[in-house]
Amino acid sequence: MTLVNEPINRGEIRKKYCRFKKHGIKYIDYKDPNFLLKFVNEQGKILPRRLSGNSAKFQRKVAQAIKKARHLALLPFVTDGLK
Amino acid sequence: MVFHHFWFSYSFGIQRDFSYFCILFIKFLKHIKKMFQRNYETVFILTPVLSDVQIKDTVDKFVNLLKELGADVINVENWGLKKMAYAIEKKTTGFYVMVEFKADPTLIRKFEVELRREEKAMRFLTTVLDKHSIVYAERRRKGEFNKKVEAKEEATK
Repeated sequence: MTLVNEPINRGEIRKKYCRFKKHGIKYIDYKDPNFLLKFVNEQGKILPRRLSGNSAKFQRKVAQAIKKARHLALLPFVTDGLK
Repeated sequence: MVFHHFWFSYSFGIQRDFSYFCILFIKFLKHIKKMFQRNYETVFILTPVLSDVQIKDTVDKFVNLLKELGADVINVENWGLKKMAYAIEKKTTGFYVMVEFKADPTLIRKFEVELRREEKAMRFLTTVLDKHSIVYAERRRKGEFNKKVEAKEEATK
């Protein structure tokens, strides 16, 4: 009963970070679908911030880039088994 | 009593006529217009049913249109026939073309109207480049990112 309300794998807690801030990337290219593939799930949905760890500023930019790529048919709107 | 016109009184002793100030004013207007120019980037998809010559003609047509409207075309890039992520107009492939140019914001509407009229163009997207993306676009033009892509493709093969 002592473990109630405590995380199960306490040793593996890793701090989330924004990869754009860390590597100093300032612009996210919508013409590069291979890079944007990191921020969508298997169905082509945009991953939430709690999974990707992006800062709010770059999450907005990633979302815009993905939406632009979808318009140009570089990324699918809906699929199954993208990865 | 001597009557002075307003432009005469601004000429500091040298006699200038009205046309001189008109020319100055027009030059000033052109300068202002150039200040408001922005960098743009348009990607459009042409139908895959066209022959090579037709594709070249269509691309030339739009590049010339931009030049006629008064834009500086910086770069034209053909990505070639690519497979699209989903079907557009029941076609699974498309011919991608990217044009980078510097132009007045009022020009974009005319250019997009022409793109909508053109039946060979299936999709298009125009984006304004901000200060970070201008730097990115320059690096891209120099081909700094291509090396990585080539290396990746070799790795996957």
